[in-house]
Amino acid sequence: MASAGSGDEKAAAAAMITLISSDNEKFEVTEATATLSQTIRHMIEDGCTDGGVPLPNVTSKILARVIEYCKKHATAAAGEEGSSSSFSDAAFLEVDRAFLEELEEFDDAFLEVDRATLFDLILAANYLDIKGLLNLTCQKVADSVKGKTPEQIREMYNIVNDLTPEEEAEIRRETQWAFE
Amino acid sequence: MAADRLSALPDRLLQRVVSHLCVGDAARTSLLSRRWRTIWLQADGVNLDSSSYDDDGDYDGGNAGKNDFLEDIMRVSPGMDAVLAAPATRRLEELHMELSAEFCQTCDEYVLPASLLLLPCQPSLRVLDLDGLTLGPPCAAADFGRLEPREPWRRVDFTKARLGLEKSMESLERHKSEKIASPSSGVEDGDGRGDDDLDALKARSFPCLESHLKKIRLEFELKSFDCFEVRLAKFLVENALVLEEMEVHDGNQRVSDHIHRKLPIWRANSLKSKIKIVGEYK
Repeated sequence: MASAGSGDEKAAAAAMITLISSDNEKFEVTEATATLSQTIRHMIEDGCTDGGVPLPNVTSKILARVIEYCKKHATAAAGEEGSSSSFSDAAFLEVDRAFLEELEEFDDAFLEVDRATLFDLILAANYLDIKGLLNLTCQKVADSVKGKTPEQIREMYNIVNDLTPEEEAEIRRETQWAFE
Repeated sequence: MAADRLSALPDRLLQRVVSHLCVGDAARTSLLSRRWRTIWLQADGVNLDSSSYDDDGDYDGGNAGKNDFLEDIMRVSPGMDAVLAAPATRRLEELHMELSAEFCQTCDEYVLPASLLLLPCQPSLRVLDLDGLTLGPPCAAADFGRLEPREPWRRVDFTKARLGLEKSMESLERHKSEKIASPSSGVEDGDGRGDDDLDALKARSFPCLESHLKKIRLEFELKSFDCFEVRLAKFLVENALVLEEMEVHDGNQRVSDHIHRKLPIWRANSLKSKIKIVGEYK
């Protein structure tokens, strides 16, 4: 389990994983943080993380951001499990809510990045299989095109329209309801 | 920066982005470029959220959250039509829709797309459960008639289908009253005379009645012993050739034995005499 180490401080301190970025920078993280990535979780389960986990698709700049995200959300996961036993305690629920709000604020601030970084984060989240981060970043892109016309979206993302006028007319016919 | 990094993402990720969009926005991405043309068709999620969800100022009051939401997605573009048209629904097996019309007058006029045939869920849909809304203009029966002849619908198991027919019937009645100059004489005696209202129905052929419709449930307020719904029940007993079970709720305990007494008689006179009548009163 992801939180097996985090519940016990000694175990958590012991279970450190080294992640190695494409530009050979090393990052020491707790197992609880690292296992937010399903890819790394499987590697740990297979016992092939000795000597560090090379991540040839992720630069140090992006990996640092990804780890920042995972650290915050691993704490959140541990917090949730810790408080579930005292579910009826209103004070704990209050703390939980405050923490969730904080987490949301963290996510919002986390997404304040330029578009190139956003795409790098999407690719890293996909490669590392971090569902929360992938959803968050894809949602960010979706939000940016929401309610926009195709022309506006093309301009925003430098998309070249290679459809012939005939094809365009055909698509408009097929999805007429979407353009009403 | 001229590179199109968005389009450079793998299909799977573009689909994921698109699945976060409401269905109208998703469909519009097909017009971006060739690369994008089929992306939204492969997305495996439908975002039912509607931008105007928060805006409930239109209603008179007392809104239940769920109905609120339904009303919004029905009425506000892209609406439920578009949601059902989303390719992500293509493996949908059961569709249950319930609309309450109390808060909002437009909502009971909501009509499911007449082009059900074109819906992605058409080959997989087994159960269609509608309450408080109408199936396709101009009337439900006509659309069922149209549903049937197409190949994919032959696989549809309609035995579990339970249609909230009362709304459909009302629109059917409206539809017919526009077309029929002289309304029913009101005689209901089982020999087919006095069913002028139903001539419109009888004049048509409904393939679903001939090969499909196995179970039907009618729910209505019995306004008179000869109201349209009663005659429709009779019509179905006589014309639905593969009907196996009929369940009738007429909304009034005191006269409930009326229609349940008649059903066996109609059944005996019909071509198909094995219909099981649920809730039969003795």
